[in-house]
Amino acid sequence: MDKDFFVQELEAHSGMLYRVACTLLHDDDACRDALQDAALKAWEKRHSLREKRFFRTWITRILINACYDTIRKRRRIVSLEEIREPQTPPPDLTLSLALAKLPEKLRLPLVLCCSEGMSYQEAADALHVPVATVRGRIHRAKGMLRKELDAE
Amino acid sequence: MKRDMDNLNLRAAFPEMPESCREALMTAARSVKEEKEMKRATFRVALIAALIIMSLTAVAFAAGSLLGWSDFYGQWHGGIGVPEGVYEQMKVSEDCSWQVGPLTFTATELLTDGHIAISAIHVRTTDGSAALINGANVSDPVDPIRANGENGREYAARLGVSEDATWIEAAQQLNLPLYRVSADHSMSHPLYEGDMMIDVLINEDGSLTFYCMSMLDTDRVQAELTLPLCLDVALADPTTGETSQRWRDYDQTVTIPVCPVLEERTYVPDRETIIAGHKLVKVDAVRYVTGAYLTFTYEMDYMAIPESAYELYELTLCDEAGSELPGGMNLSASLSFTIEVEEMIGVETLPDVITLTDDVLPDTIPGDAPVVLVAQ
Repeated sequence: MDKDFFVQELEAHSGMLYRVACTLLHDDDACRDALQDAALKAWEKRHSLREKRFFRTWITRILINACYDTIRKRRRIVSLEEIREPQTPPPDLTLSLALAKLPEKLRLPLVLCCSEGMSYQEAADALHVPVATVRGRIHRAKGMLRKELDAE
Repeated sequence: MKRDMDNLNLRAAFPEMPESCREALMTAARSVKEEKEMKRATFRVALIAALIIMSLTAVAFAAGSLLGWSDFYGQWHGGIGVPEGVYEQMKVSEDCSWQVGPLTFTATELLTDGHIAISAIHVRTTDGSAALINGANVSDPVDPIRANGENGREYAARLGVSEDATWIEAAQQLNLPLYRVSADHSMSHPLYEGDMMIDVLINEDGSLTFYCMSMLDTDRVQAELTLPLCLDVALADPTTGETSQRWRDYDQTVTIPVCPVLEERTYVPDRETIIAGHKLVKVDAVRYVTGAYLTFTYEMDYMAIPESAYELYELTLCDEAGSELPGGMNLSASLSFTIEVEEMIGVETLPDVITLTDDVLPDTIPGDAPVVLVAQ
């Protein structure tokens, strides 16, 4: 992988990467740190990308690890009050708040597949879980999300 | 207003990417350099590697110290009921070993009840030399060792590397080969149905226990199951983590007797029960040494029957010569669908009563009282 391809792919997937980081971190400062770390780590480990067509899944996995590292380093507890007042309000605040209430294990595969269009296999590869687990978690996530939204 | 969950615009839950985040990402991306950086060892690699090799090879290898399914269920998946005696039944008494490249694979536990086939296969270096062995499809060379959970963190501590070190970094620091292995069941097996679960645990001596559970087509399983295995070894390049050498053996099989049925019961609800719109008719329970499989049979909600099902009425019934058979006295027609859901419980006898609650998804069962299933 050369630098031009790397920069071009990160640009193309930047929106997706931000949304995935948001899913885990809820905070733009933390997202910024994680995105930066992920880019640098991805370049260091560029030889581990077997085929260019898997770039999206590959960079997503690196970003997820970077988000967890960021959480550990920053040791912040994001309260519900912070979640309810994002710096830049999303177009659908109700949906955003309902999504934030889901457990992370359910929220992340839901976002990967239903927001970012990943296949169950791609999400399973990014999350290191079996495909059946991804399917099950998405099903439960939708059920919980439906209940949250119906309650609004 | 109720949302249409199938057409939910989940992206609307996120704000636009702030320019500061985009700038941070792209600045980092543009700052990378294309020349290959030489990694400098910051440890006294030769001495440390020698000490590790001495300590690993000095460990007395005892089959009883290997991690098995009891460790898998007991420590890493609490809440699973495993009937007494099943671990004994899993143990492989004969030698089932195969050499693949520089590694030896040994089946230590095998079991099938016709619904699932499970195996624990131990993987070690054939000559007893030190090496890092991890599970392919479970972790990559660039993943941190701590991604293997508590088992990984303990292993990193034994190796004397940071738990944040990746597998390839640990291999570089310790100057040890890194092997990625698979010991799973062939997915093209004719009796295979559904997903396969794969996981690994690292033993104290650095060898690997590779777990595999595959789902079977119960109707086609007979008294014995011949399970094809996929044994695979990939040596990782110490610089890049990519595969530099590979060995495969996809010709090996193991034959396992299928556990017999120990008990069967049928349960019916104590009242008419509609769950998620579908009528619960009965629950058939079949128990093996592994536990009990419950098959819930539902009559599908009439309104949920797909449109295409009505095309099934359009068939013409003819005799052998192709002449249409006359219609019968019943001038009506019926259409009903059943749904079967199979679940497993880890019990040693089938209970007389099973109750159903909807704690996970409240209001799935109308009303407040749980559903009581009574054995017939």
